[in-house]
Order: sequence, then structure tokens, then C-alpha cells
Amino acid sequence: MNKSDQQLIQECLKGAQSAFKALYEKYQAYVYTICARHGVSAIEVKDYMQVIFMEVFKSLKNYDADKAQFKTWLSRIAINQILQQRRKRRIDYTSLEKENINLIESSFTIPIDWKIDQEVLFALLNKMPAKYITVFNLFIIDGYSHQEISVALNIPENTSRVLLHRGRVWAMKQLRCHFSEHLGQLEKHSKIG
Amino acid sequence: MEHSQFDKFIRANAEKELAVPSELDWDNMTIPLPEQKRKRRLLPFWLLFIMFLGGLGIGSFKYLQQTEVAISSFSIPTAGLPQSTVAKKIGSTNQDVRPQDQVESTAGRSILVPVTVQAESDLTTSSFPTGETQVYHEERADHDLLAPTTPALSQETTKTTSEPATQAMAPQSIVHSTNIDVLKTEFKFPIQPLTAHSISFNLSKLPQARVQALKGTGSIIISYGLNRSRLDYNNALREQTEAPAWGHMTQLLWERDLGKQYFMSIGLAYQQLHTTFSFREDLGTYINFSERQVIKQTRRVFHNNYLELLSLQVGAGRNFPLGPQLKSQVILHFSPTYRLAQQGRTIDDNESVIDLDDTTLTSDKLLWNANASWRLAYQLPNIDLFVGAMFTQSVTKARLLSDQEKMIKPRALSFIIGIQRSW
Repeated sequence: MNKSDQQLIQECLKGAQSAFKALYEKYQAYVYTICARHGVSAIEVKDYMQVIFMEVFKSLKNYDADKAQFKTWLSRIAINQILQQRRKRRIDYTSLEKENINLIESSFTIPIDWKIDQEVLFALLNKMPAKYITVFNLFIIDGYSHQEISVALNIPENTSRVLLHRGRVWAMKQLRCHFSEHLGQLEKHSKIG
Repeated sequence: MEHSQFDKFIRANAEKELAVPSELDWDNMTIPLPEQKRKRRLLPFWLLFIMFLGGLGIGSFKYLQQTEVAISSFSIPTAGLPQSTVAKKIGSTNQDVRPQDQVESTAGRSILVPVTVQAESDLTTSSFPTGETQVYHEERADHDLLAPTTPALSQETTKTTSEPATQAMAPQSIVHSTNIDVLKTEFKFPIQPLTAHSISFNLSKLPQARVQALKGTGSIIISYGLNRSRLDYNNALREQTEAPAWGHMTQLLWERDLGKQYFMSIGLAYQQLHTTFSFREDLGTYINFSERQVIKQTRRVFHNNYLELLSLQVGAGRNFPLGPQLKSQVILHFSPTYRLAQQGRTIDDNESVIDLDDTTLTSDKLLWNANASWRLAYQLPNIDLFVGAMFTQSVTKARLLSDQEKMIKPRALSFIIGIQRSW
């Protein structure tokens, strides 16, 4: 664990306001990125950040450096707070157990070395339906298992799998459109060139 | 697998941190910092107050105990007492004479000579013990005063009544007349020195301590105090939203002695319990379609709540004498209590802020309380002054709101001062 994190936490536990400020400034971009990924709008993001960091500062005394890295611990708190706020919105994660799941095999392949602007990617993903994007983020980016997602969202594990699949399909379609436009423009420029 | 490749693509492009807008800078944020627990190096002030009172009581008791012990070990032989207390020995004379530093003898000039002091008439400060006052007479120097004529002079100017004791105590004058300018006279007071064993004091003749109240006497007590209270909700969130604050109480009691230091106590107590309410209420999220905005609303609510109670206190107590003028009292009361008024704000089962008024409050206004009081009283000639503390605890839970199962069980700790008038 980073020594400066250790020092900052110790100072925060003693009540030093400068330490709280330093800790916030060090991780505000990280937490802001998590919020943006999870579809938190620009209007709401300030409230979310305040709630998240308030919870972080309050829980600092419970942090155990031996169990997890501070960044991992911080991301869990941020995601939990985002999910709590989402629960108040009562997003309906409809049980899909009885639905016939058609696994759509997409023929679109994205070479991994292709890049996309992060803000563009988030803007695309934020258009994803709310019930997909949470599971999509938790599984693909935050590293949650389906079991952990089912506990966090209080949904059956199979529902989590289905929602993830549908999120992927949706995202692939959006990215295909994006890259098709991008490829078309490249071809156009190359022809002109 | 395609999915794994896709996931890797998403992860690779989503891991970078975005640039944070300036509105999220620390100075623009209002993040409540956790309250640092003050290290309790000092005892709570109320405990210090009680310890101070206890120390005062114990110290007074010890002091008075020592005084009694000291007095009881003295004995005064009446024969040895000097008969020279001025105020009491009317008719007798005190022949004490103080040394005179200087006597100037010059014929025709006035001189000052020591004279014997007549107890009842010559002294202006008759309450002084012997030997403390000097009186001088002025007279003409017709003769050589250096001659040992002082006794003769004494005879001219004083009237003496000889008594055996007085004569026994007569000062012995020693006149050194080697120097005509300076005459030093030394007198000895043959008073027997007082020692611890030479004084006796008959304790049985002392007036009885007032602490031992006569059976059948009554007294009126009026007291006023400050209190801190908790409503003790049956819900953790509601408990967190209200914090104790300072309130006050007034008490009027009538007490009647039952004998053997016990007494009954009955009266009224008016208490105003104060708390502060603080809650961040989530007002929900709504979408402004015209401007394509998602708006989340919250509000922070603060309010000073108070609860007025009127109690009928019925109980009994016991005195614990600590000395002739000091006593400690412990009283237990059972108090049916009526909720006179209540005002403030609270949260309902939906975590929404509601006002406490006639529409929301239950009509059930009766509470059942128990009180335990301790008083330390100091007795003055006509009244007693006391300080103390009173702890009030609701014995049963009371329903607060008319349509919800929100129960309270108030308790309060009061610090009181007051007066007691007995007859």
C-alpha cells in the first residue's frame, strides 16, 4: 500500500482537515470516473461525490490495509453508494428467468488495439438502459461476480447473467455503428487522399 | 472468445480517469467530516458537580466531627480561671497593669503612669480579656515618682476590692529604676496557661442538632433546575435524528416527617425537555423533460423540539445527617405525568419530516415516571438551602404519533437548587 495513503489516513483519523482534502483531491478523479461509468448525470454527480466521500471519511476507521488496497476499498464504497441511490429510484430489474434467452452471436469483432475516446465511450454506454448498465459496469469493469451482483442488486443470479448479455449486445451494436462511421470516414479520406 | 475480447476492449478504454470539472473541487463541496471523539481527559461536568458536593459534605462532616472531639477533651478547673473577664465580673476590679515603656519624671510636668484598671468603669473596651488594654492617667508630678511609690499612687487613683482570687492573681510589679529617663516596668500575668487537658465541655448541655427533625413537622420545598433529556425512541434512525439539549424544571413539594429520619413527599413538578432535531431528507428525483434534466432533491432540516410535562410526585425519603447544619437526603417518587404540550419535528415511517402538532400527535397523554432525587441541604436559622440532582425515567413506553407505532420512553437528569421551609 502506498505510504502516502497510509499517512493521509492516519492524519484523517486524527481529524486533520488538510488530510481529508488531500485524500479527496487524490481520488476525486477516480470516483468521478466510476460515477460517470455508472450513468450518473452531470447534475447528480456532485451529490453522489459528496455522499460517497462522506461515507469514505466516516468509514476510514474501519479500513484494514491487510484486507484490500485503499483504491479497491474506495471503489466498493463508491459503487455501494451508487447502488443505494439507484435503489431509491426503484429500478425494476425484471426477473428474466422464464424468458427464452436467445444468445445472439455477433459477427462484429473489435480489435483490441483500436481506441476510442473515453468520454465518447461513456457517452455511448450511458445511453444504455439503466437495468443493463449497472450489471454491465459491475461485471466487466468493476470485477464483480454474478453472485456478488445478485446480492448487491437483490436479483437472481441468472437475471444478472441475462442482463449482462443484453448489455453486451446493446453495447456492441452501438460501437459497431460508431466504428462503422469512423471506418467509413477513414475510407473516404483515404480515397480523397 | 468474442465476449472476452469485447470485455478487454471495454476495460482498456474505460480505466483511464476522466478530467474532473471544477465544480467538484474541494472548496465547492460540502462534505461533512466525521466528528472527532474528544478524548475524555476530564470527567463530565455533572460528575464533577456531584463529586464537589460530595466532597463538601464529607469535608464539612469531618470538620465538625473534629471540632466536637477537640471540645470534648478539654476540662477547665473553675478555681484556676482568672477572675478577670471584664464583662462578667461586675464589681470586682482587675488589677492588671501593663508594662510601661517609658516614664519621664520631671517635677511640675505631667507624666503618664500606668495605673490599675478598674474592670467595669475604666475600660472603654470592656469585652477585651485582661491585659489587652492600657489606660493612662495624667497627674501632676509633685514628688519624685521614681521612688517606689507606685503602690502608693495606685492607692490614690484606684478603688480596689480585694478578693482572694484577685489577690492571688495580682500582678507583681518589678520596677527597675536605674535610669531616671527610662523606667521599665515588667509585670507578670500569673495566669495559668490553657492546655488541652485543662478545659472540659459538657456536650450534654449543648442544644440538640436541628437535623434531628421533630416527628410530625412539615416543610415546603421549592426548587428549580436544569435538565438534559433523551426521548429514547424504539427506532435507531429516529434516535439518531434527535440530540439532547438543555431544558429546565420547577418543583413544589410538601414533606412531612415520619420519624426516624424518614419523611413522605408529595408535590408537583413541571419539566420542559428539549432536544434538537436534524435530518437530511431525500425528496426524490424527477426529470425535467423540457430541459432534459434529472434533478435530485434533498433538504436538511433542523428544529428545536420540546416536550412539556406536569408530574404529580408521590414518594418518600430519608435524611442522612452529616453534621449539626448539614444533611443529605434521598427521595424516591412515583410520578404519573401529563404531557402538557409538545412541539417540533420528527420523521415518520417513510423517513419523511413531519410536524408534531395536534393532527399528528396521539391523544394519549399520560406517562408513568419514576424519580430518584438526592439533595444536600445546609440549614440556616429560618430556611434550608439545598443543591442536588434528580433523575427521571419513564417506566412505560408512550406512543407519540397517532397513526404509527413510534414509542418514546423519556428520561432526564436534572441539577437542582432550592429552599426548604419547615414549621
